[in-house]
Amino acid sequence: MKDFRDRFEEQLLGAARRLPGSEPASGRPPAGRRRLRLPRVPRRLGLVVAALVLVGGSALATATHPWSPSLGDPRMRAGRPVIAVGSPPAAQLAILGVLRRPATAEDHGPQVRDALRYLGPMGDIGVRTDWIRRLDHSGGAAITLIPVERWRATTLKVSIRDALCVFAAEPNGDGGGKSCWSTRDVLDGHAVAGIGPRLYGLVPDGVATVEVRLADGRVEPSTVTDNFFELERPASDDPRIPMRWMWITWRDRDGRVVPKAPLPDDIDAPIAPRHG
Amino acid sequence: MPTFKLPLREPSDRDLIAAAERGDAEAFAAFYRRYCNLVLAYAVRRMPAPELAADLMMEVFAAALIAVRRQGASRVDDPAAWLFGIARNKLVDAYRRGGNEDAARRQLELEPMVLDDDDVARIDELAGEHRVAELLELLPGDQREAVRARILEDRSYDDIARELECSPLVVRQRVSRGLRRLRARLEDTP
Repeated sequence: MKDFRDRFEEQLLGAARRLPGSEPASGRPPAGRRRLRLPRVPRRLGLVVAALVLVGGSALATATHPWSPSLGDPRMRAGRPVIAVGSPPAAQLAILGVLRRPATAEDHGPQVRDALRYLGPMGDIGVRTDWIRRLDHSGGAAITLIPVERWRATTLKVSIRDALCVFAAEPNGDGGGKSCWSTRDVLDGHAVAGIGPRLYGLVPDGVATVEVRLADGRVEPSTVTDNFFELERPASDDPRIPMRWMWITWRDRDGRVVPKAPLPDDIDAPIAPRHG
Repeated sequence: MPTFKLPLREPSDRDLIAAAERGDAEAFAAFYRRYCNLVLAYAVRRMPAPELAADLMMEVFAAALIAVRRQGASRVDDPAAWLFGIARNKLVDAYRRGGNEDAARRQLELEPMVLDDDDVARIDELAGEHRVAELLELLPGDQREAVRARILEDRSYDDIARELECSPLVVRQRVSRGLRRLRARLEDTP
């Protein structure tokens, strides 16, 4: 349920758009002034930025031609989610190659656009549309990565800043499930979710395969593409319920175990990519 | 290679206000989200009813938006202090008039906001018993004194710096850090 502060924010946003000098009615500011002008990058951090630009220059170049898909459901009275003014934090870009690569036609395809209908104006705050990516490669229902400035579940009193949300569509095309994680969740190995028998998750750069140990002791491998893995779980004793997973091991391209290392407290500080 | 500056940190208040002045509506919304709880906490201790505190908070941000867009905000050196200055003026007006004005909201053609019981309960929770004082107590001593002097007592940086025996720049940093901490605490408020 919406708080009066949220309702007033919507009113205020509408007024700000109506005032002279504000953005067109689409809510999308002109490209020339969309992004905030930020102070000069400190020299030390500039090296990290330069490395990121070299690694993913073309991905960053897409920011100059922002993607403006329709967000939310136009039939909902609550309004539409807004597009973010900034990019994901450097730490996120540094550990997730999927965010650094250029967007493809598939990333902007009809199934991804359909997933964006399920975003809400109050829960998904500041959608980073330039970094939306389609993750699944198995030919099933689409699974889409949707980075947002903040994801909020008011009923649970949970809020994640710079959240990485993954929307998995139902195979029948009717809705789907969304999970949102922080950068820390990904690095800690907690970015795992399931829809029906389909188990999937996000992993940082450097993880080439995952091994999922199931409740009956079986170990199912899955190849990582675009920082994403997925596999079909067998049914449990109850054929309607997929088997629980117990443990997931990360391995690099040489088969060595990749530790889920604890992260420094200062998550916002840029960190070097783990894998070149 | 395209020129592209990668933001490495959260935009500052001045970044947001400057962007809002240039026409970026979302930047002003971000500024609002950043400070609405703090302004509400400020108002709720000074108004006789939660509804009036919410009313004051909304009028403050409406007036701030008008000021940013129509009068320009490039001269605003410290947006947080500027915002609380508006809050103080609105509060004084409300005391004199025996109620809040709604001139800014009418100018922006905003619809009257009707608060339900849940809204009032949330404001009560935000207020708590000596909520602002409690929050200030959570800050380290140097930040607490700087925030109290600058935001609640509206004193100049130079004046505070003399009292605290440090440079005005240090006071600015303490106020900025203190407000960031307070915002983070208040974001936990449902």
